[in-house]
Formats: sequence, C-alpha cells, structure tokens
Amino acid sequence: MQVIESNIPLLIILLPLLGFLINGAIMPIFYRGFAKTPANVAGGIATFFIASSFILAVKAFLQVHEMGESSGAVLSYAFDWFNYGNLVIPFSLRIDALSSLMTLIITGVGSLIHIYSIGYMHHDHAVGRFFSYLNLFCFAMLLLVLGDSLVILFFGWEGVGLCSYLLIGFWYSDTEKANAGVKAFITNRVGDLGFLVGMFLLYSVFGTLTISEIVALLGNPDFIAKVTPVATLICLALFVGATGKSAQLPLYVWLPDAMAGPTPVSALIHAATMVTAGVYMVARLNPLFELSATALSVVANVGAVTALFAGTIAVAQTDIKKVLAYSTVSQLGYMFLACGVGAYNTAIFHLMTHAFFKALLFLGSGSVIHACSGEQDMRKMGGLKKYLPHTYITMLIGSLAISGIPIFSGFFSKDEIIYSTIALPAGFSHLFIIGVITAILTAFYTARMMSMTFLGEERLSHHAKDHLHESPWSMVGPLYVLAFLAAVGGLLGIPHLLGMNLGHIPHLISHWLSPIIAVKHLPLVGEHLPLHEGVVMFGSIVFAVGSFTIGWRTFKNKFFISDIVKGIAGVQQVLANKYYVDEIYDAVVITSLKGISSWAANVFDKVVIDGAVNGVAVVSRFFADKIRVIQNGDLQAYALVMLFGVFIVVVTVYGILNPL
Amino acid sequence: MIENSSSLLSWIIFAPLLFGAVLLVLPSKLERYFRTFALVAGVANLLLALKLWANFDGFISEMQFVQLVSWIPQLGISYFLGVDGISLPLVMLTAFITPIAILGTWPKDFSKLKQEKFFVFMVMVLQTGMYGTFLACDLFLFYFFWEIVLIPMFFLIGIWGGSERVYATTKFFIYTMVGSLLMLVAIMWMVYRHQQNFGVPSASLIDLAKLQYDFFHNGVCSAVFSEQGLLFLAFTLAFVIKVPMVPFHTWLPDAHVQAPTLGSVFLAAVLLKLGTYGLIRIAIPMFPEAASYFSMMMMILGIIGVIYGAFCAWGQSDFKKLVAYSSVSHMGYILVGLFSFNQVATAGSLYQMVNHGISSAGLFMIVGFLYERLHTRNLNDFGGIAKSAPIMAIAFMILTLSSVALPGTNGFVGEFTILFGTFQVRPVVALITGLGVIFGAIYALKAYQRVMFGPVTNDHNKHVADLSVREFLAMGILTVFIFGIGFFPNTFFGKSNSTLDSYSKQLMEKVIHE
Amino acid sequence: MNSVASLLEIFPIPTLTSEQSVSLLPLVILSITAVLVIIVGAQKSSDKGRTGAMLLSLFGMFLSATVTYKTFSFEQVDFLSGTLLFDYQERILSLVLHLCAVLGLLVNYGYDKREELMSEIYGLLPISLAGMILMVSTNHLLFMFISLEIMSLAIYVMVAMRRNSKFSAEAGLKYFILGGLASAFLLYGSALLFGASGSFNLVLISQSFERGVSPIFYVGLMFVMVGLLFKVGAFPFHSWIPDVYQGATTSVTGFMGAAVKLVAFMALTKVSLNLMFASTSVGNTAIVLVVGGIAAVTIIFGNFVALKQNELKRMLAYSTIAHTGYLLLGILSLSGSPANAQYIMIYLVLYAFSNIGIFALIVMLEKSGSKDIVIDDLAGLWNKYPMISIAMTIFLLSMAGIPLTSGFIGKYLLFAAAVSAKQIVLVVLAVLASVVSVYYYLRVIITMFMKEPQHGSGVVVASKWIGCGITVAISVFITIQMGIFPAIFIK
Repeated sequence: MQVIESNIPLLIILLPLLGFLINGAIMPIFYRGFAKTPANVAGGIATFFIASSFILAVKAFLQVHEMGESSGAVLSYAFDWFNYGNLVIPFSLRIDALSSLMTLIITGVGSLIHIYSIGYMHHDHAVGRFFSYLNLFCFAMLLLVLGDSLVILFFGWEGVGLCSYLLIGFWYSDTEKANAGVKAFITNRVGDLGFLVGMFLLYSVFGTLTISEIVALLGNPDFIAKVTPVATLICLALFVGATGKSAQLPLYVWLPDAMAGPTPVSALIHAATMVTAGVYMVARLNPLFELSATALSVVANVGAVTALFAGTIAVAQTDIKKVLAYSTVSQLGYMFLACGVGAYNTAIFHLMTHAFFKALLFLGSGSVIHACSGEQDMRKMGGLKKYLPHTYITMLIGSLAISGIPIFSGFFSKDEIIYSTIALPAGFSHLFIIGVITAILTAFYTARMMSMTFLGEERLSHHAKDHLHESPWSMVGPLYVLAFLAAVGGLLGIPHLLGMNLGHIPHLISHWLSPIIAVKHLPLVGEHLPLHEGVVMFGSIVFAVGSFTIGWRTFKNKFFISDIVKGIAGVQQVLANKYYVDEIYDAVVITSLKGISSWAANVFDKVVIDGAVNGVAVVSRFFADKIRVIQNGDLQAYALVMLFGVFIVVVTVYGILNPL
Repeated sequence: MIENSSSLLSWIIFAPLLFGAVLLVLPSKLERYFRTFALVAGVANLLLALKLWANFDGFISEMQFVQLVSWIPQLGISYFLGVDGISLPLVMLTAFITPIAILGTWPKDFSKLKQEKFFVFMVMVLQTGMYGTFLACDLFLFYFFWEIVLIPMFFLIGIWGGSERVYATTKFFIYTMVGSLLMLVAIMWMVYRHQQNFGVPSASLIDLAKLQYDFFHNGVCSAVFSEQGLLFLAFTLAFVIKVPMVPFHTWLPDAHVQAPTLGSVFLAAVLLKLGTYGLIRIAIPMFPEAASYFSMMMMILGIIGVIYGAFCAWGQSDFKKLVAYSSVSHMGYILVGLFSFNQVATAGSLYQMVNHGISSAGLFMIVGFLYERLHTRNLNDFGGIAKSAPIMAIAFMILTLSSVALPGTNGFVGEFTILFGTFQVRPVVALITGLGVIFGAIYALKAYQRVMFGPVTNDHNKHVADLSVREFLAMGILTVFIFGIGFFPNTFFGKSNSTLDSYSKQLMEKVIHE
Repeated sequence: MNSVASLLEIFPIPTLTSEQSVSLLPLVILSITAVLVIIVGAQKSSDKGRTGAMLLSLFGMFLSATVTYKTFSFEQVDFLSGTLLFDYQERILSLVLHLCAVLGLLVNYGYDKREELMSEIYGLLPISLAGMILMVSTNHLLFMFISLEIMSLAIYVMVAMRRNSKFSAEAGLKYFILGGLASAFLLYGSALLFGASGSFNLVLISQSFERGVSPIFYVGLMFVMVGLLFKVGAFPFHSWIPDVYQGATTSVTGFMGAAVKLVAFMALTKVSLNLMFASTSVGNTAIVLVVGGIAAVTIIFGNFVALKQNELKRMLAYSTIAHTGYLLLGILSLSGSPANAQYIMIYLVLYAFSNIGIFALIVMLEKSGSKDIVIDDLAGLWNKYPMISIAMTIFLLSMAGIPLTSGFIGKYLLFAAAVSAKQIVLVVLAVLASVVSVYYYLRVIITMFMKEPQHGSGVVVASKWIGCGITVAISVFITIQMGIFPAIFIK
C-alpha cells in the first residue's frame, strides 16, 4: 500500500469551490445584481474551474497508475476537522483506484455538461446563480468521492443533497418546482438518518470512521469474527442511506419529481453523479458488505425489484424526461443488483457506462426541449428527425447503448451484470429472470421514446414548429463527445469469453479496481454451469435487438402499449400514474404527520399545557375570592374571630400537653 | 486555583452597567445617538472578551481569572468570579451576539422611538446579568445574576412588546420565578449542610462540590425524596423552565411573539443558554448519583422536546412562533446530550448551545427584517420575496442550513457530536433523537419556501427592500461564524477541551462507583 | 416632713449611676419635647404653630438620637434588677426607631396642612417613640404591657387624626377596641405566668423551668402570645389591619406599619427565646406546631387575598400580613439557634424602610378628600412622573424579594435561618406563596409602566412636598445599599 502525500486532491475539490464563490459572490458585485452576469461569462468561469479540476484528476489518475499493482493512493491531509475524546475525524482526501475513476467521471461528464448548459441556459435570467450552484455541486460530489473518513463522505453526501434541492427548485417562482426541491431534500434526509445510524454502529465496532483503517481492519481474520454479528445491521443501515440518495424502491419518489429542475441538472445530478453515490459507497465498503449474506441479498433484491418496477412505469410515461428519470431508477437498480450478487466491479463499470449514455440521453432530450421551446410531452413531438439531425444521431447512439445492443457500452456492462447474477451465486435464481425482463423493457421503452420523438408525423404546435431549430454547436459538441464515449466505453471491460478468444484483452476495469474490489472468480467455460456464458450473451443480444426493433416500429404514431395490445387499458392507466405510489405516500405518511403537527401546535400546546398554566392562575384567583369573604368590615365579627382564634390556640396546646 | 489573578471578569460584567450609567446622564434629546452608544458599549465589551479569550490558557481545566472578595462573610457568601472551558464559549457568544443584535435590529426611522434611553439602559442591564450568570462561581452570586436578568427582560417585553405584551411578560416572569425560588431554597439547604459538615458556611461552587449528599435509589419515591434527589430536582426544575423543556415551554412562544426583535434575539441567543449552563455547571456535577438515576427520564423529556417542538413548529402559521418552537426543538438535543453522561455528547451539548445561539439569533433577525418591512408575521402573507430581496434570501438560506444542521455549518458540529456520543451510551435514544433531524428539515424548509419561494401573491411583496448595510454586516458576521465553526470547530472550541475532559472524568468517577 | 419620708420609704428614689442616667436621658428628652410641642402647637394661628411644633419635635428627636448614639460606648446597663436592659442590640434598634420616627414626622409636614390635621400629631410621635424604646429594652412582662400601652394609645389617636374623613375615625376606633382586647390578653397571660413561675422577668421565668413547669404556664404563655400576635397582625388576629391601613391618615400608616411591627416582633422574639425554646419540654413541640400553623395560614391568607385587591393601600395591608407570616417563620427558626434573632431584626429593619418609603409615595400621589388610589389610577405614571414610578418599582421589588434590593437579602437571611432550623416544608410554602406576591406587586409595576392612562379618570396629580421627597430618597438609598452591600449590617 504505497501512499504519496500531495495536495492534488485538495486542489481538485477547492477549484469548484472557488468557481462557486466567484460566480456566487464576486460576479454579482462586479455586475451589481444577482441576475446580471451574462451567460457565457458565468458559464466560462464555471467550465474553466471544472475543466481544470478534470485535468488534475487525469494527472492523479496517471500518478495512481504509475504505482502499478501495489494499489497506491494519493493522499492529502488538510487538518484535523474534529478531534475531541474518542471522536477523531481528519479532513483528509484520498485518491485511489476507485475514487480516481469516479473523479474522472464526475469532472469529465461535469465539464461537458457545463459547456452544454452555457448554451441551454443562455436566455435564463439567473444564469450566474445556476452556474454557482453547479460548481458547488461538483465540490460536494468530489468531497463525497475523495473523502477518506466516512464523516467527510457524509459531508459531501448532504452537500449534494443541498445542491440538488437548490437546483431542482432553481425556478423557485413556481411553487410546484419548489415543492419538488423540498421533497427531494426531505427524502434524502430520511436516507441520511439511516446513514448516520450506520456510521455510529460502525464506529461502535471498529473504533474508527476512517475508511482506509476500516478496510485494513477487515483485513485480519480474527477481527472479522468480532464484526460479523453486527455486520448485517451496519450494512442495512448504510443501505437505507444509499436507497435515499440513489433513489431505490422505498425512497425513490423524489427522482421523477426532480425533473422539475433544468435539464443539465437532471443530466449531471440525477443521472451521472449524485444518484451513483449510493453505489459508490457500497462498492467502497465492499469487504464489510461481503461479511453479511443477508445484507447482500437485501441489496440484490431491492435493486432487482426497483429495476423491474421502474422499468414498467417508464413504458407508460409521456413526458420525455420522466421516461429517462424512471430509466435511471431502473439502471441504478441494476447496479445495486450487481453489488448484491458480489460483482462490485461490474456495478462500477455499469455506473461508468451509464454516466455516459444517460447523460447523453438527458442532454439530447434537453436539446429537443430547447428546440421545441420548452415542450416536454412526447405526444406533441414527432418527426423531428429531419429538423434535429445531430441530436437524432447522438440520441440514437445513446439509446442503442442503453438498450444493450452489441459493440455499444451498454451491452458490455449490462450483459456482464446479467451473467454475474447466475455466475457468481453459481445458481439459477429469480434475479437472473428479473434482469433479463428489465433488459427487454429497457430496450423497449427507449425505442418507444426515440420513435415517438423523432419518427412519425409531426404533432408539434405551430408555435413550436416555426421556432424549431437545431441546437447551437456549444450544445451539440458535448453530445458528440458523449456519444463517442457511449460507443467506445464498453471496450474497457471486454468480457472473459470474447477477451480470451480475441487475443488476451484483459477486463481493464476490474483489473484496475482489483486493489479495492477483489476480483471474483467467474466460472470459466466447461465448469458445471446451467447456462454457458456464450449462451447468455447470445440470448441477451437477441432479446435486446428484438425488443428495440419492435419498440422502434410500433411507436411511430401510437403512444401507449394499450393502443397496440387492446386488453390492457387498465394496466396502462396504473402504470401511467406510477402505481399511485405518490398518492399512497401522501395519504399514509404526509397527511397523518401534518395532522399530528397541527394537532400538536394548535390543540395540545395551546389548550392542554397553556391551559394548565393559566389554570393555576385562575384557581388561585378563585381561591382568593373565596377567602376574601371573612373581611366584612364589622368590628364585632373581628373580635369574634379573635376570640375564636384564641380558643383554638389554647385548646390545641392543652390537647397536646396532656393527650386524652 | 489561581487566587485573584485579575479583575478582568469584573470589568466584563460591569462595563455595560457603567455605560448604562453614563447613558442615564445624557440628555434625552440626543435620542438618535443612543443606539450607536449601545453599539459602542457592545463593541467595548467584545474587546474585553477577546482579551479574555487571548490569554485564556486552554490547557488548564480549573477556573481562571479568578476573583475572590468576601461579600457576606457571616453566610459564607463571596463575590467569586472565574471562567473555565465550559463558560468561556458562552461568554464569547454573548460578547459577539450583542453588537450583532444591536446592529441587526437598527430602527429604520428614529421618529417613532419610545423611551429610547430606558430601552438602551435595559439592554445594558441585561448584558450585565448575562455575563454575571456565566462568570459567577458562587451559588448565591449565580442566583443574584440569574434573577437580575429577569428584570430588564420583563421591561423589554412589557414596554416595547406587541399587543398582548403584558400577558406574555407576566407569564415569563412568574414562570421563571417559581423555578428559581425553589432553587433558592435548595441553595439555602446546601449552604446549611456545608456549615454542618465543615463548620463554616460557604456558597462557593468548589466548596459545595465537596459535599456528599445521601442518595438511596431502591425505588422511585425513595430516590425522589432522598436528600440528593430533592436538591437535584429543585435545581433541575429551575433550569429546565429556562431551557425550556417541553412541559414547561409555553412561555417561550408568547414571550418571543410579543418581544421586540432585539429582546427576542437576546432571549433566544443567550437567555435560553442560562438553563442549560446551569444544568452542566450545577445540577449534574453537584448531584451525580441523582442525575444519573434521573438521566433516562430527562433524556426522554429531551427527545419529546425535539420531536414535539419540531411538530409544533411545523404546525405554526406565525413565523416568529415557528422559530420559537424550533428553539425548543434544538434545545431538546442539548438535554439529550447532557444527560447521556458521555464525554463527546457533553462537549457536543456545549457546542450546540453556542451554535443554536448563533443560528436562532440570525433567524429572529430575519423575522425582524420582514416585520419591519411588511408589518406581518403570518407565513401566508409572504411569498416570492427572494425575487426582490436576494441578499436577504441568501442570508436566510444560510441560517436555515445551520438550523437544519447541514455538514459544513455549525449546526452539524453540535448535533453530530451529540448523536455520536449518545449513540455509544444509549443507541435507541440517539436513533429517536435522530428523527428530529428529519422533522427539523421539514419545518425549516417549509418556512423558507413559504417566505422566499413561490409566486408573488400580494402586491406589497413586490418591492421588499433588500438588506441595508448594517443588516448585511450583521448577517455577514453570523455567516462567517456559521461556516467558520462548521469547518474549523477546533479553533473555536479547542480551548474548552481540557475542562470538558476533567469534567467528564470527575463525573464518571462519581457516577460509576455508586 | 415624715409624710414625705414615709413616701420615700414606699417609693425609694434609686440612686442612679452616671451610665444609667445617661441611658434614661433620651426617654426624658422625648417626654419633655412632647409636652413642649403640644403647648407650642396649641396656638390660635394653626400653621405658624404647626411649623413651630414640627421643628421643635424634630429637634427633640435629634437630641435624643445623639444621646443614644453617645451611649454606644457603655457596656450593658440594666435597671431595677433586669427589668430594663440597654445593651448594644437595643441601642441599634432605638437608633433605627428614631430614624423611622423622624421620617414619619417629615412625611407629615405639608400633608397635615392639606388634611387640617391638628398639630398635636407632632407631639404624639415622640410619645409613641418613647413607648417603643421602652418596649424594645424591657424583659419584664408588666413593663412590656405599660410601654405597649404608651405606644398604642399615641398611635390610636394619630390614626384617628384625619377629621374630614369618617374612615379615619372608624379605623381609629376599631384599632383602639381590638387593641384593648389584645392588651387584656397580654395582661392576663402575664398574671398567669407570674402565678406559674413567681416572677415577671422573662429571664427569671426561664430559670424557673428546672423546678418543673406547671400547666398554667402554657396557658399564660399562649395568652401573652395572642396579645403580641394581635399587634403583629398574624392570621386569626389580623382583621384590623386592612381597615386601619386604608382608613388611617396615610402619613401615619407608613410609620405605624413599620415601627409597631418592628417593636412587637422584638417583644415576640424575646418571649419566644426565653420561654418557648429555652426548655426542651413537650410544650416545645406543641408551641412550634401552633406558631407554624399560624405562620402558614397567615402567609397563604395574606398573599392570596392581596391578589384580588384593587385599592393600593388595601393591597399593601394584606402584603404586610404576608410579611408577618414570613417573620413568624423566622420566630420558628429561633428553635434552631438563638443567633437567628438578628436575622429577624434585619428583615424587620429593611422592611420598615420599604414600607415607610412606599407610603410616603402614596401620600404624594393622593388627592385630598377623594377615595383611595385604585391601582388602575396609576396607569401611565411612568411617562408623567418617572422618578416616582422608579422609586415605587424599587420598593415593590424589595417587598417581592427580587435581588438588587434589600428585600431579597432580608428574605434570604430569614429563609436560610428557617431552613437551618429544618423548617423546609414551611419555607417551600412561603416561597411558593411569595410567587403569588410577585404577581400582585408586578401588577402595580405593569400598570405604571405598560398601561396607557384611560384619559380623564385616574389622572394622578403628585403634590411634591420636600418632606416626602427626603423620606423617599433615604428609603430608596437604604433599600438599594442594603441590597448590594448588606455585610456591614449583619453582626
């Protein structure tokens, strides 16, 4: 374990922070007003800082690479954020194999999205604020990825939650969008509580919160015996945090509503980076997760069910961004499925490829919306192929990638996940079936989206029609770069079968991540296996291509699956309303909490407690009224009272002196 | 214990009173300059406090800058001042908050001022009372200043308050009086016990700490009615009313809603800390067995405070009441932290006292800004103010983040350490307290959204004036503190580490061996 | 000639040592001033006579005060084998009484012209002062009765002095008749005590305990207690206080409330020190129970009824009853250690000055002939007369026992003594009842500071008399000074 001290990691996170401060504070002073900074000035500054931190990320990547096999790391220790008693949290940042890869993704895709959003947000009035929030987000995400101590990771964890709140509710004058922001923050907060509890549990066993120390401790076997009983509890608590942040089943509701934010935000935060934080955390702590089979099975099952659940909903959505949102939830389900079965490196591989093609698809949809001057409903689009050629080509590559069509990146990573669901547990399980069905669904709804937007006759409103224009190069450029990455990305992880035959090309990603994630032995050809790897690969290709072409052809002029298959109008209705999950959540959780709060505020507090306090005053006044009566001003009465008093006194003294 | 090392502490306590005396002499037609005069006084005290901070030795855990003058020798009462790691942060909080508060609540037009001289004099007396309570090491002196704080607050709310200010201020005064008078009886009993054991009566904290009270805990009523149990409950009742803990909190929203902004900033930022300071300084160390016996009860009440306070805040439609109930919720954390008898949680509670002081002072100032501009506190009248007052929106956002305990702000430093420490002792309690983190976010963001976001419904929200230079300065300093403590907690609280260590060690010895 | 000689045998003129004669001198001076003042005051032109009488009376009191001050250097002086005892404590008390009398006199000046009080009031003051000094310094029960009568008679007349208001006469009469009843009890009790122990002197009676205690002793003791409890205004015997306080000439009420209570409680302390708590016989617990019961009921009654009063003077009357209850608690603490007597004395002295001060303020605020001040009349006093309202606030806070004022120190000392005598339950009761007292004191402060005057009614006109001004100034000074530096006063 070779560690180099350098301040590159510190610089990587400070640059976006600097960008945030310049755009957020200095520019408004310079331009005397918050909404005055012109788009390309603010955009330029933001892009400059994120790009420079990308260059540093590459430099760090190379440095780690030179260290070769011995799992080197670049560490920069800033100061002791907190040390009192037994709570010691060093503010140290660490780039090793896994975090360098993540940094590359964040800063790379981030820079592309920054360039893209200069064009996209050009005529928005508060551009300076937008770019300052974007840079702040990058700072928080990098902090999350580079943080060496779990608390620093938590720093970034909640920081990205804040930025997603700010960016979703960016156009705050519309309450519905502001509500979406609040919903995102609160749901994340629920997850964060789980994460907090996981951290405390972890501390109570490990005695430290620094990740490198935890992983080291998990190295020696006798310590493992001490940890295993509690491991399940810790992993489940941490996984609750992950579901909150990466929008898995119970806490996914905020992601579809998060589409209220500007599209670059959806691309950056809700596709490429923030939502993958959960997957990163699970991958980072994989030795811990390995210790408890139950936790792994929970992760796998939640992932699989979410993938399927979201996939089915995506099929019935009409808003282009909602389709992509549910597809993100579904792909994240895939990643957690991979982690659940133990194929962490495949999950990271899929995370990377997903970042490429999902960002591409979101940006593509952004340029479509930009072209149709804000129209998001696919039913009012169609036939845009000839008007937006570049967008069409790049989105086509993206959708081919996501559907898992061969040679595109999606095929390699998704196929490996499906294969590992039966290979690693070395057995036939429901996970494999769900994986295959979701793959089919993915191809199907992506093709549906493409054909509804680009093929068929134009259903544009004439206002949108005459404003229809291809997006400027500043937007299309990043699309092409991402398209190239989406296409080529797969080569980084050529599966064993092909690799061996095509001349020993290793699975680069898992090789690169090996110091962090021990490579699992995938059973090779010939070992007893229900389905031969080749058969699985061939099957997935056939399914993917088939469902893609069906989707592609049927949805030229039709909108819903119920138009094709007559009988299932009801199912279509349920899917369109997202299984009424939001309505159920509202009815069960939110209205009851609101009820309690108004009861507590108005009834219990005012009437009961305040009442008791004022009651004491009323009682004492009443008592005072009663005993005031003795004082009636008549002399004889006074004398009588006196004599009565004397009598009482003497009798008591006499009574006590010689008791009867 | 260093004898009579310097009279700096007396200067800190009585400097405001001297300024007040000078003020009384000034002719009242100079009314416009009284606020600047108050600011100058506040800054002067701040300089004194900084001098204290500068040569406060972070490695000594006992009292420093001690000043011991015998006051009523026959009763063992002495004018005994001292500062240690626990009281230092609170003194610094008071020193910083005063000028900021005066700056932040600068009256817009000086024509509508009511008895400005008396108002500023009351603020001065309030400061003396606050400093005195934190610096007193003699129980009688502590009580003396504890009561003195009541009088100016009574007049501040009573004369310059809102519509039903009389009800609010009477309720505030009587409520605190009940608690503190029972505390007085407890003090008398302790002084008497000291005289019985050591021959000479003494009310100084250090001597009284040596006393041993018998405590038998073979049953609830025997614990309650044992000597230490009764003393502990008497002291805790007085402090808990001030904290405020849930069943005794109803005076806070009324007092806040009716108080003038400056008054409610002081009330929220410092006066609530007197209660928790009393707990950490007197109630827990003096009666450790009783404290540990009742710790579970107090923690449960703390949790109720956190959750119930958050729910009440969520249900409010009056912005100032919402912030008041948020204080109830935040102070609940401190109770949980203190009574978990864990070293880190106790430190966390001390940090939370300071952090809550900063964030609630800021929030009340925001309420004051809005009230001064729109003359309403009802959340439904606001909406879309961020458009016309962006700087106020940013300041309010930073304060909300601090009260929601986002990492990187001071709120997180306090709450994380409390939850961390409490979890090691009682995981379930920490888990439920953790729920407060979620509900805290709900009502804080609801408030922010109702005020700042959304379309501009009623017209006079359109051109809400943004922060003036003074207000911006006040908010700026608060922001510096919020992020400063958030990122570098050690620089701010490093000096109290040794005192907290020895405090927890002594506590553990006493609690463990029983 | 031999008739004169036989007279001398019956009443032998005791040969007085120099110290004894000087100790008696103040009493002589006061009596002479009283007689001279009444002669000077009886002139036809009432106002010239009035100022002359006032000045003479003032001069007389100053003279006797300087003489008492000079006697400080002597040791203990006693007369007629222990009946009169001039020791250090007694001299302090007589100085305090002199100060009260002087202040009481100053308050009268100016008020008497408006109320057409007769100038005899300036003569009666020295007489009552002489009676008080005698009462404070005697250990002899009969002598106590005589000095009590001297003091009370002078005060009965002063109370009834206000001719143009029928309340004053009614108050005076009530006070006189009920006072007479109480004195009868006192006398009868002393007789029984004499029968039981063979002596009137408290010290000798306490020595006679070794020879066993006969039941008559307790009955006699109870009767003496009743007599004194009436003077002090404890619960069953309190009924005269509200009417007398409200009806009497306001300038006299301040002095009466303060000085009479001081003296009566001193007598009560002497009686309880020597008789009640000396022996540890069974009777002791019975008496503690009775006095405790009376104290508790007085506190509760005084505080709660005051809650509902609207007239200022009546409210203050009930608050005095409450303070009597606290002092009875102090009496109980004597069972703990005899040294607690000084705390009772301190509380009484501090309370005296707040009482005189607040009544001097009321004298200034009252309009001639109209009904008494209702608390709501004081609304908005703060804007019109800031100085008066600040002084009133200080006195009220002192009575409520809030720090920075002498009342707090007094209350702390008294309750600390009671706590050391293990009367925890009673102290807690007193403390909670004093919270109720805080409320009705606050009510006055609130009306002054926070309520706007209902225009027209209650517009209070303050007549500024220098006499009252000086009294208020001195009382405020003492209240604040004692509140911050009380050490010098406690021995």
